[in-house]
Order: sequence, then C-alpha cells, then structure tokens
Amino acid sequence: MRYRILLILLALGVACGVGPKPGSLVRYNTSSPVDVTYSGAGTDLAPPTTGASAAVTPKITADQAWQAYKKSGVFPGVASQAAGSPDVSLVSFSDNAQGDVQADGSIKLKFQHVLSWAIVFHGVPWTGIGGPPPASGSQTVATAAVPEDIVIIIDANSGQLVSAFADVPGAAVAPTPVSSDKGLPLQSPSQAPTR
Amino acid sequence: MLLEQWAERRFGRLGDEMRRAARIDCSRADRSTVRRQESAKHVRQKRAKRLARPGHRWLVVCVAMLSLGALLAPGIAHATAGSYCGTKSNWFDGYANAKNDVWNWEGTLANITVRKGLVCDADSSSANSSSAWAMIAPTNTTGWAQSGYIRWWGSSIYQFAQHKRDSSSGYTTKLGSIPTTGSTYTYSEVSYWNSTAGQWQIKEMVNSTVLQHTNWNTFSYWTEPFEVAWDGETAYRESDVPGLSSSKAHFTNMQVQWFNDDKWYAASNSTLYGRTDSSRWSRSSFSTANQLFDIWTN
Repeated sequence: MRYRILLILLALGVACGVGPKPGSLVRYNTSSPVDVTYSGAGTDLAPPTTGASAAVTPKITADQAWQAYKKSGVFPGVASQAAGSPDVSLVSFSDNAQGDVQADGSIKLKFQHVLSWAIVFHGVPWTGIGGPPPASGSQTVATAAVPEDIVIIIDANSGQLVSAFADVPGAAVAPTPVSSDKGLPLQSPSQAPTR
Repeated sequence: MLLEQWAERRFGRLGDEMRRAARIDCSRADRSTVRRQESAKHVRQKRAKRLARPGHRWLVVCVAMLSLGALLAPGIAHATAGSYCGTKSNWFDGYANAKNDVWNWEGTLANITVRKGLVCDADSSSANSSSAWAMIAPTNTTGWAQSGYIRWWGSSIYQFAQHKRDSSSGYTTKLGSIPTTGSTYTYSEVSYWNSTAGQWQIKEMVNSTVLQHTNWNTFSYWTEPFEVAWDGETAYRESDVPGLSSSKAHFTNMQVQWFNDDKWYAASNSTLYGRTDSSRWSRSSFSTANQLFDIWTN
C-alpha cells in the first residue's frame, strides 16, 4: 500500500513537472554577444571570438550558469529589482584591474579573455554597501540608490564564479590633466607625524 | 525540512541561526514526520502507539522550542540575528578619525579577522548585508574607497571592494574570493600615482591582490582632510556585525598613509572616535600601543 501511494505521488509529480527546472523561477534573455566596458570596475565583456584563447563552445549551458549564480548567493534578490529580465550571454571576460602585485610593483592580471557566461541585471537601484560613518554624534543616513548593472561572471567551462560586480556601464571619466603634485598639504612638512 | 517549513509558515521567517538549529536538532523528527506521511491510514491505526515513539517526542520538543524561540526572538536584545528587521540605514561598529583631523591621510590599512555576521531574515535582498572593512573618504563630498569582507542573507562570505567618487557617481562594487573564516587578511586603500592615466588613484586591496582601483584623480575631486575608518557594518541593527564574544573580529595593525611622503604610519587614537550603533554589539577600546581593537555581537 505504501509503495502504491509513493508510485502515485511520483507519477503525479512527473505529470505536473515537479522537479528542478533550471531558470524557471526568473525568465532571462539569452542574448547575442555583447561588447560592454565597465570602467569603474575595470572590466570588459567582449564577444567570445575576440581574444578568447579556448574554443568558443562552452562546456556548461546558460541554465547551468544561472544555477551556479543562484548557488553562489551573491547579490541576492536583484532579479526582482532589475529593470526587465536579465541578459545571459557568452562573453570573453577581462578584468583589467584585478591582479596580484609582483615584486617589481607591476600587477599580474588574474582574468584575461576568460570564456564566460555573463549574467547582467540592468538598472538595479543599487545603494552600495555603506559609506563612511557620520561625524561623531550624528545620525546615520541611508545611502541613495543609483541605477547600476549587476554583473555575474560564470566560467563557461568550469561553472565556477569568476567575478561579480556592480557598476554603471560606460567609458572612463576623462582624466583631468594634473601634475604629480597633489597640491598644498594642510599640515606643514616640518610637522611630521610622530605616530 | 518539513518541520522547518511549518515553523516558518507559522511564525514567519526564522533567523539564520534558528534555521540551522532546526535542521540539526530536528532531523530525527523530520524523518519521523516523513515516515508518517507515507501512509495516512497507517498513522490513524497506530496513533495511540505512536504517541510513545521517540520521534514523536522529538517533534513535540522541537516544535515547543521553535515556538518559544520564534515568539521571543524579536524581543531578545542580546541574541543572534532573528526574523525581524527594523530601520534600514547604515549602522556601524568601529573607529574613524574626526573629520576635522588636520593630518592629511591619503590611505589606510588594517588586518581584520574574518568572522561570519548573521543577518536578519525579513529582508533577503542584496541590501541586507554584514561586513567589516577599512576605508578612506573625503570630507568635502560623498565618496569613499574601501575593501573588506561581506556576506548577504544566505550567502558565503566574500572579499569585496567598493568606491564612489562623489554624490553624482555610482557605487562601483566588486567581489573577490571566499576568505577562510577565522583567518586574518590585510585590507588596504593605497594612494599611488598612475603614470599611464596621469593622475593620483587609490588601489583597493586584499593582501597583495588589487581588486579594483579608482579611475579619477583623487586630489581633483576630493579635498583634504580625508577620513579613515575601520568598521563592522550592517544595514539593520537587528543583524550581527562579524564576531561573537567567543570569537571576536580583530582589527589589528591599523595604519595610515601620509599625504606628504606616501609612507605608512601607525594609527593613533588621539583623533579617533568610536561608534557602536546597536546595543546588541560591542567594541573594545582602541589600543594605541598595538593599534588594535575588537568588535563582536553580544
């Protein structure tokens, strides 16, 4: 009797489609290759044929990349805050800022032309993590939201989380021509700190 | 899991800690519950006998414990994060220098021990986090550069860096690797001359890894004096800052980079002020001798 009930429940489950359905909770767009620079984060999403060292055929699917993102727990809940459905696209990912400082002071970049799935949530009202504490005795103030892209990078071969960042897409701020002189200090150099 | 789901339906979402306790302590009861669901007829026939079963006793005990916990959680001042989230803002536990500090700091660093900070349950969005970090910020505008570690509701702990140029720019945030809980990492914001860009910038670092750097000239947008800060932070006072009384989050080796020579100096407490925004949290006094302090949730 017990087994009969289990069999009936199993049959009902199959009929109703119960079980893991990758990507079923949030609808996303599997978009064509993108070419976007996030200058603040120093990252670049390029079409996978551009500079990708490996074959452009990923070992994992977009659905599997989506599941890897959900499993990571990073930037939770942004799907419900984004302006529209997220885009999932195959990219060549480069991070031109993140790297290890070498003995000679140079930086060895960690991620260059990594074949990846990029999950991009557009227009998320992002408030950052915080900011400096207010002056002594002052009340804390909640930070104001800025619409930003939340980007999750999943390695298209290993399925590992490569990077996750929030930034406004676009080119860098044009540098203001300056000399290496920082300007006048508030404190006279003769008053060197003793600390 | 059935018991956990039932308790959440009955009492609202459980805190991270209570949910974990339910999974561990009530697993025996869960198994008994599942067995009983396999045959309703069998259950009816053996109801009297089942009252004496160990599994049933476990279920009753666990339901009672969960009920009591769920009822008491919002009212407990010194407990781990619970279901209720109060006023959302930016709440701090740590030290910063006064904004009128005449010393011109341009960088900062601290070694921070990685501890898990549980967060309240009513907000499972990315706005609800618990973090610890080192930061430098201008006092003429709303900007900063920081690095540290962070976790959200249900997530692992991640290294992170964030910068914001001013009130008209975004919050550029990047996550790094998953640190080892209990280990200590050096988080630093380092002022440097970027000869390629021709401007002074700030590197946001974890140990010897640069996560990201600012992309504007520091001294064009920010005017001195700068503020340095070393804090634990949450979005709700009902969440936990990293660390517990038995395993505190240590801030050690706190240093500041001086404007005049770009070199590093031990931080002094002569201009520092402490801030602890919740009675659920604690902060030890700053040790000038060793440049250290601790934070934790009571």
